[in-house]
Amino acid sequence: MFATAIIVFREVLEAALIIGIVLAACRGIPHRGLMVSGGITAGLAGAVIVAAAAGTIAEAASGMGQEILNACILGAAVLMLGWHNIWMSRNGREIAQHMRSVGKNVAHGAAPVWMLGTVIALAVLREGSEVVLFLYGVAAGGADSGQMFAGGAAGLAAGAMVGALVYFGLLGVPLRYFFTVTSVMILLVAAGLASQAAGMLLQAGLLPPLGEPLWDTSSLVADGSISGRLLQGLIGYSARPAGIQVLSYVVTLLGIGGLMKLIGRVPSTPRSIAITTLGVAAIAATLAVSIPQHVEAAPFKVYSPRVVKGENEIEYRGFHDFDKDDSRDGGEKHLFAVGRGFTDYWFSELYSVYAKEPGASFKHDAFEWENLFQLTEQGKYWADFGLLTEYELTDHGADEIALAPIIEKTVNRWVATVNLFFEREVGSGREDGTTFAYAARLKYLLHPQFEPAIEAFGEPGKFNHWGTFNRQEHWVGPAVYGRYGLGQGKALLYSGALLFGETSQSSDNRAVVRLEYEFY
Amino acid sequence: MILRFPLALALLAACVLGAAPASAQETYTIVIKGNRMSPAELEVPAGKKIKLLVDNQDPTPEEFESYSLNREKIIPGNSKATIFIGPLKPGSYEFFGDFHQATAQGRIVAK
Repeated sequence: MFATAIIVFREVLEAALIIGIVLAACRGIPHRGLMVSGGITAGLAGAVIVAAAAGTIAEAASGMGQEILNACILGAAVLMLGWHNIWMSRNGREIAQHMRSVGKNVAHGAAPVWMLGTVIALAVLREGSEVVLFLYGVAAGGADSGQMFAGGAAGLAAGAMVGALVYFGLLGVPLRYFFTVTSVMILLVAAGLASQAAGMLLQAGLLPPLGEPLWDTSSLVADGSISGRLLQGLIGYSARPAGIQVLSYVVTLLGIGGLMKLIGRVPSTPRSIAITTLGVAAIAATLAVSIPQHVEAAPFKVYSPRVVKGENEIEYRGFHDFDKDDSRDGGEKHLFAVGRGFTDYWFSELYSVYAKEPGASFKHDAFEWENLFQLTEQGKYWADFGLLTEYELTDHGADEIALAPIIEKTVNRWVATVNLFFEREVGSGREDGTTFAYAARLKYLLHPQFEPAIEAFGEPGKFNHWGTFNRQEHWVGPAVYGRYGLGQGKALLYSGALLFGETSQSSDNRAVVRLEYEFY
Repeated sequence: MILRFPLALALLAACVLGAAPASAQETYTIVIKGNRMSPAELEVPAGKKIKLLVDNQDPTPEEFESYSLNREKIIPGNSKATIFIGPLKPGSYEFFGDFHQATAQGRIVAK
């Protein structure tokens, strides 16, 4: 199931990124919701048709039908994105002004919303047809259809979440810079797609390579890694591009950029474009470094995407493992931390970590710096989103960096929260590979001092190297939360959980205690 | 509107070009059967453009993929596909079946 989820996630990712960016870029244009859903539906229908006709397409054009179809789909998407950008260079400022003064959408009759729908349909069509063929292969191979469905759904959900993060992240950009930022991002996406189209025609033997590869950065960020995929979707990254791909990237960038400047009523200043390009590059580079590796233990706290400005916190949390087997019995970890909410969306916390391996003695293990970002206002959208970043300075071995998207959904008195951790080692002695881990909780708001919950934690392992389920770490169990107000803004928060190991790699039982003292 | 047409024409030209028969190159064959690649190691000459014929004898589709060769192509069940690679520098180039990564692995060695 995990293997299925990962492959589906990788395929869905690029389409999700494009949808997130395009949707944000068309902010303020009416009927965009209709166009997005229409685009996704049309793309899915197209994907099924392309998958069903895969044999015929493959045989067309002397066996190069697939490459040519893909190149045409990519080329059409580049045209649409380019046209959108040129149109926005004329109208973007006006829309932004209107949104600032009136605070709502403009009724712009000439807005090319259908173009947005088409781009989304093309993106879904291209990635979707591969997913359909893959799932068909899995089903025909006699795999459990329930497992396959669950894996596919999980991969799709994870991809959709990344798209949602990009979208809401972009909405957080101030209106003054908003359309410049989205324009530059669309420009980079379009150039990346043009480079992929050139790659397809090269593979079909229709274009000369002009040097292949022109350079090789696979030791930095590999194409197959999740960070590689993210960078490919965002800026068209390829670890080993052919000369023709680089050429079409640059030509597209200069072509669309030049027309934007030429046709745009109020051309963007070179300075703002430079700043945005640097910003996007910095975000992309951060993603590339932070999404990548190792962690010795699965998380044992579920983070909520909520930050309060001016709140100070002293925190302790720890666990003790019980197991029949001595090699897993008696493991412990204790964290002490101080933290503060510096703004109403940023909370920063410093940890000192003590650990005890089974059969060994206690020792200081690491210092950790954590930053929690609240990305959306609570209750504003269908779910609340946040992002957690961690840097762990370990006493022995390589340092570690982690990035965890947070999503929380409240329905009446039920609160469901999921944290997805992507971890990678950095510095000397590091191991390669991105490790995935998760923390999840379903809580019922019974009484402020007593809220029952179910929690799950686990670490399936490194991407592309996940062992069988039994070799992974997974715990599930009941938990309870509570908060005691002490007056004058002071409060004591407690929670505890008794977790049950689900695999032979996990300890039989893990007892968890967490305490927090809050004050202003 | 006006901008679209020259670009659209160029694209159309590319699509039509695709219908032209591909020129003959030295052909090497990789067979996919039982979700495995054979030969698992294929030796090819370095410095030459090569036509790779991938013959999927399984009833299910497979995606032939290689990061080091920068290639990916879906091959439907019971069918063959052509992929052009090279000219390659001497060295080893891993490839795999994206849909069955656990078993479908192989590499091309350019000498």
